Order: sequence, then C-alpha cells, then structure tokens
Amino acid sequence: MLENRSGVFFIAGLFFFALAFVSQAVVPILMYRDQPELTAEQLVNPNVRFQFEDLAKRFPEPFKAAFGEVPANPGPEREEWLNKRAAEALRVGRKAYTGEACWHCHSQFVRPVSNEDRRFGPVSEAWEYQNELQRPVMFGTRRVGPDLSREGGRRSNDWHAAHLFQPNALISGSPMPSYKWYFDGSPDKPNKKGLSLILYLQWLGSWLESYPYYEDYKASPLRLPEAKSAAPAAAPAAGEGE
Amino acid sequence: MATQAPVKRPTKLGGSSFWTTAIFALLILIPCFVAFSNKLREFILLYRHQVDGVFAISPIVNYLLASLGFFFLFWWGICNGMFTQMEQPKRSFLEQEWKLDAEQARYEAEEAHREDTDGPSIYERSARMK
Amino acid sequence: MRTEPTSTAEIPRHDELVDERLVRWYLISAALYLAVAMTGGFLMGFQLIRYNPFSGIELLSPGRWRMVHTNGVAYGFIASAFLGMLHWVVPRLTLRPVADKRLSYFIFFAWQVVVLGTVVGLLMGEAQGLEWGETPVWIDPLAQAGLGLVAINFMAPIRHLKGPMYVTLWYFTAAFIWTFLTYAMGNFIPQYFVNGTSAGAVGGLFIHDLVGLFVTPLGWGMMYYFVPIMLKKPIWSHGLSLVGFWGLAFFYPLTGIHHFLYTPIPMFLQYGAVLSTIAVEMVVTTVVVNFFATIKGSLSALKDNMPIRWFYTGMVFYFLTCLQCAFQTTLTFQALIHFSDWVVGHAHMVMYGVFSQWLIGVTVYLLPRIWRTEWYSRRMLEWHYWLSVVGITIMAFDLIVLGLFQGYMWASLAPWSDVIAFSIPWWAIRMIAGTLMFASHLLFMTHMLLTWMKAIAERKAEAAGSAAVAQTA
Repeated sequence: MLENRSGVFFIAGLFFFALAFVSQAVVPILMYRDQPELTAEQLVNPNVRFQFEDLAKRFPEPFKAAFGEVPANPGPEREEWLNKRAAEALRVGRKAYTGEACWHCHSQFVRPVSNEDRRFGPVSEAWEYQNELQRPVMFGTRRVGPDLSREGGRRSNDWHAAHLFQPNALISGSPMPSYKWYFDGSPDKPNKKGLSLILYLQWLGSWLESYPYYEDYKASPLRLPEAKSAAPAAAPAAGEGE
Repeated sequence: MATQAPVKRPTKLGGSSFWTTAIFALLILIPCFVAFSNKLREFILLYRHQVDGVFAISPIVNYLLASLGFFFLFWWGICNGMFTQMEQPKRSFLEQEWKLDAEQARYEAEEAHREDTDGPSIYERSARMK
Repeated sequence: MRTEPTSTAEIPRHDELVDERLVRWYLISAALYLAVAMTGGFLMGFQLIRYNPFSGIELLSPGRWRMVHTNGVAYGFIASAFLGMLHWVVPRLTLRPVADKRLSYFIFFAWQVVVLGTVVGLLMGEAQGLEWGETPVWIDPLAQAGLGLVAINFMAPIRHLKGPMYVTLWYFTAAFIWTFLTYAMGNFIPQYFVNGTSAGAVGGLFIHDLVGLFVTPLGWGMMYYFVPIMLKKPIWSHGLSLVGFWGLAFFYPLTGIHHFLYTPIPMFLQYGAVLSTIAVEMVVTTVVVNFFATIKGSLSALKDNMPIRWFYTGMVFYFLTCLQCAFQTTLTFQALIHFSDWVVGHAHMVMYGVFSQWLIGVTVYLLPRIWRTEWYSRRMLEWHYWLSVVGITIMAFDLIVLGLFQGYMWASLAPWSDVIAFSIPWWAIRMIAGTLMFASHLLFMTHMLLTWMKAIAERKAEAAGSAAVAQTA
C-alpha cells in the first residue's frame, strides 16, 4: 500500500496536503472567525471623509467629472452621498493599487522588529485586516519603497497627486515609475482612478488613533478601541475638516 | 511496470561508501540534534514563563505526534512485507528504457528501408502522428 | 504488460506511446514564454536603475510587467515545459499512452489561452491581489479546469500500474493532485471565502506550495528519470530517494507561513512553519547526496554531456538555495532580510538557477531526439550554458549581499532615499547579469531555429537520396 500509486495518491497527495491546510490555514481562519469582515462602506471613517472632501475642494473639476456634483446643502442627504462615493472610490482605488502591482514594492504591515515601529508607526494587528479592501490581503513580500500601511494622512492630497504623476519631481532619485495615465495631462487633473487611488492611500492607517501625522490636520475624533466597530456610525457626525 | 525483470540481490555498502555515509550522517545529524534540542529547551522555557506560552509549544507537539504516526505507519508497512524490493524499480525502469529505444531504432530502420522506394519517410510520418 | 497488436516486440513502440509533436510544441512555446517573461524582468530592471525608456506608457508599466515576469515564468515557461516533459516521460515509464490524444491537444490550446489571457489581463490592469497568482479572476476557473484535465490525462496510464513504482512516478502522482489542490486553495479561498490575516496565511501557503508541491516534485521526478538514462546507470539508492519523497510530502506543505513571519498571523503558526522549513533542508540533503553519489565515477559526463551539466549545475544551486532557506527562515534572519533584495536573489536562484536550468537541460536533450538530428553547433550550446550560469550566479550573489545591506540600513533608520541611492549600483550589476541571462536565452532560441532548419535540410537530402536510389534501382 505504501509503495504503490494509491498510497502515494492518498497519503502523500491528499492526506499530507489536508494536514498542512488544517494546521496552517484552517487554524487562523478559526481564530479570526469572530471578527466580521467590514465592507468598504463601513470603512469610510471621518478621516477618509475628510480626505475625500479635501479632494473635492482641491480638484473640483476632475472630482465633478469622476463622482458628480457634491450636494451643496449640509444634511443627511449630503452625508449619504459623500459616504457612498467615498466607499466606491476606495474600491476603485484598491483595484488600481492591485492592478499596478503597487503591493509588490510597498508592503502593508509593520513588523515588531528592525525598528519598524519607529520608522512607520504602530505594529500591525490582525483586526486591521478584517475588511473588504484586504481581500485578498495586501501584506506584500518586498519593499523597494516604504511600507504604506500607515501612509494615510502623512502627506497632502496635492503631494500624492504630484508624486503619482512624477515621483522623482518630489523625491529625487526615486525609482518609482510615473503613473501618468491616472491624470488627464497634468498633476492637477487626476481622473477617477487617480482620485480613487489617492483616497485609497489616504485610507491606509486612517483607522488608527495616530492617523493625523499631517500637520494641517486637527486631532481625529476617532476613539479607540470602540472606534473599530463604531467607525461607520461615527462617520456622519464628523469629517467636516473645515 | 516490467515486473519480470530479474530481482537482484540488494547491494551492501562497501568500505568506503560506508564511511562516507557515516561521516555525512554525523555531519548532518549532530548539528541538527544540538540545534533542535536547544530550540526545544527554549520553547519549554517560554512555555513555563508565559501565560499563553502553551501556544509556542503546540506546533512542536503537533509535529511530533504527526511524525510519530507517520513513523508507525512505515513500521507497519515494513512489518507487512513492503519495501522488500526497494531497489528493484530503478533497474527495471532503465532496462525498459533501453528496450524502448532499441525497439524504436529497429522499427525506424526497418521502415526507412521498406519505404526507400515510395511514400513519405519515417520522419514525416512520425511528425504527422496517428 | 500490454502487448500492442502492431508491435512485434514485447513492449509497445515509442512512437505509439509518445506524441512527439506535442512535446515539441510544448518545449518551443515554453521557450517563447520565457523570452516574454524575461522581457518583463528587463523592463522592471530598467525602472529600478531609473532609466525607463517607456516611462508614462500605460501598457508598458513596469509594475504590470513585473507580474507578467513572474506569472510568465511560472505558468508560461515552467508549466509548459513540464507538460512537454510529462508527455514524454509518463507514457514511456508506464508503457501506456495518455488517456486521450484529443484531450492532450485540447489541454495544449486551453493552456495557451490561459497564459495569453493572463498576460493580456495583467497588462490591462486586471491583476488579482495574490502573489504568484495574479492571473485575473476570470482566468482562474479555466486554469483550474485545465489542471484537473492534466491530472486525469496523466493519471490514466499510472492508474493501471501494479506493484512498486519507480520514484519518478511517485513524485508525478503526488504532483498532479497537489498542483490541482494548491491552485484551488490559493486562487479561490482568499478571494471568495476568507479575508485579512487568515487570507494571508492561505496566501503564504500558496506561494510556497506552488514552488514546493508543483515545481519541486515535477522537477525532481524529472531528474530521477533523466539522470540515470543519461549516465547509463541506475540511481545510487532508490530507498534514499523514497526518504526524500516522503520527507518532501510531509514537511513541504507545512512551510507556507514562513513567507509572512512577524505578520499578525499567530506566532505559534509561524514557529511551526520555521521548524518544517528547516526539516525540508535535511530532506533536500538526502536527495542531493543521492544524485552526487550517482555521478561518482562518471564525472567526465559533466564535461561532455550538456544536459547532465545543466542538471548538476541546477542541483548545486538547489542545495545552495535550500541551505540559504534553512537560515533565512529563522526569525533572527527574517528580522533582517525580509522585504529586502535577499529574497529576490533567493527566488531567482530557485526559479532560474534550478528549475529553469533543469528544464533547459531537458529541452537540450529532447529537441534533437525529436528532430532526429544533432544540435547545430556545440559552441553555441557552450555559450548558452556559460552565459546563463555566469548571469544567474552574479545576479543571485549581488542581490543576496545587497539584501543584507538593505536590512541593516533599514534597521539603522537611515533615510529611505539613502537606501535607494545605495542600492542603485547593485541593481545596475543585476541588470548586467540579467542581460547575460536574456542574451543566453535569445542565443538558445536562435540555436533552436538553426537546428530545426538543419533537421529539415537533412530530411530533404535524405528524401532526395532515397529517390535517387529508387531511380537507379
């Protein structure tokens, strides 16, 4: 039995594979099964909303072309409109991020070693990845550029637009490719994918208390750890960053 | 498989290859054993000194159990008469290969000779395949 | 044993077993895909040294071509070459043809659709967010079905075997089922069933199983078949080869998470993966010892026999990568070298230094046999070999050393741009090494073309010769 085809097929082929799958995949799946997967709508927190409205102000014409006119009057209708569009932008942005293989040069997790928490920010935890935009997860295995999981809020939307358009204009010697096809000719005219990609970058780390690294930004009203589950409920209340 | 190939006596390790094997085995096994026992000790210390340290030792226990089960399966296989002709397939497969090549060469020579007068050559026919 | 009615001898004839045209098609398409994949690597290399002549062109985006590079190598080159090799080896070992010839041709064309679809999809920006599985989601089901059909097609002749099998067939049997399961696990579970950290665990398992359960068993099975044939003597110890097989089968699948050490994946799972990775290295040692004991006494084959030289070069690299792997998988090393070019060097050494070298060796052996001729030029073969081996050696060591520097610089909190500035000269050396490898492959393709033309000329001459004989008769 051990020497012939059925032994090889069943013991080596099926049984050992199953053993590995159970011990290496099913165990973590069971460990995190109590953490629900958040949708993109639930991920739109005040920080993301701030950046989204900021995009609308900085790039009014491209924003209008991409997402439509922002309702003028404050109120629930406007809130709903913005939240919905922001969630859509996060999805589009994630698709661009995957499609351009950004994640092959920028990881999305901060390790507890090698001084990474001092360079990038708080060490990553499992709950941060339980959401739709991490399906499949964007951990990454290589850093040509820095880790991006705490990138959101560190730089302005203008910076991101100019940087995506021509990276070495802002960081001399940068080996990052330019992504001119996310703009209609110049860095002040990002198209829908470009705006969405910028919002996706600003979303990374927006769920953390330490989000506002960017100097122009006031302290986040997010509260942790309740904010984890309460983020969507808190969204309409804040995000008016004016 | 060509089971009718003559079963040859299992070869015994000669003097030099015995020593090569022994030296290689020692070279590999001793550092492995040292490193492994060192790690095991580390794990046990971890297990004793941390509240959730039991998690650190669980893969070791799992692996030991699984390897042990696998070892017993093999033991059972040997006791039941498996692996008695372990070295035989390596010879029968080579003999079979040589037969295949000889047969094909004979066939091609025959065909080339027969079709000297007309029809496509063996190469063209084999390229077309049936 | 089955006796063929058309065969006069006791065993079926080779040309009734092996569809040589299909083997040839697979080997040639594999070489073409390798050229495409290398173009991708070339573009990415240009970007890293900040000289990208195609900057700003969407369809030539280096990021997209990077994925074409890895997927082209895995599914275009390696998978195609393996399929060609399997169409030769499996029927000859089992003395039975594959399940169905029409199925074989269907698989061939379906696989071209899969590979070309993947390339087009990736260039359109449709990638799936899974390393080594970036094939767009709409290609996945077709690829999965293709792999299922491959398993059925090749398992059919194996199914009839009785008694102890030769080790090659052990590896192949396991590889068919593993490849199918691995692909299913890696491409569907993180996409449709789980997400986040759990998906990371599955993703890690997939990255490694693709190498360990698809490429490695097929590669070693191939070596166990071709090396004894070319050295004209059996493998040193069949028993030891079975130790290698069972060790691989047991330990290799357990190693996956070692790609994501220090992630939020539970630490005790990471420890387990580290442990089994080190165990794999011991298994690998038994396999390598077996092969070097086999060539003992026939060392001159390394000089005279090109395929043997390719094979054993690959084995030396295999031993080096696995040794490297046993170290780099420890948490101490990971803290330093993870995310750095060390890993890239390791990956190139495995995929190019080992498996590509073996597959090239098999191509060098099979193509002239199928064409019934010799290679056009021995010197071109030598150049091909030396360019590629020197190239991969430089590339691997350049990147591995660079990885150490990068790790220390990152840990020292040096500004990111300093690390980049430091890396650029190393990336330039890597670019030169890559150029050597690319050149060696282009040379090989030219050589294939010349040999093919030579074979045609020989056949024509032969036909003319036999016609002349017929006229005089």
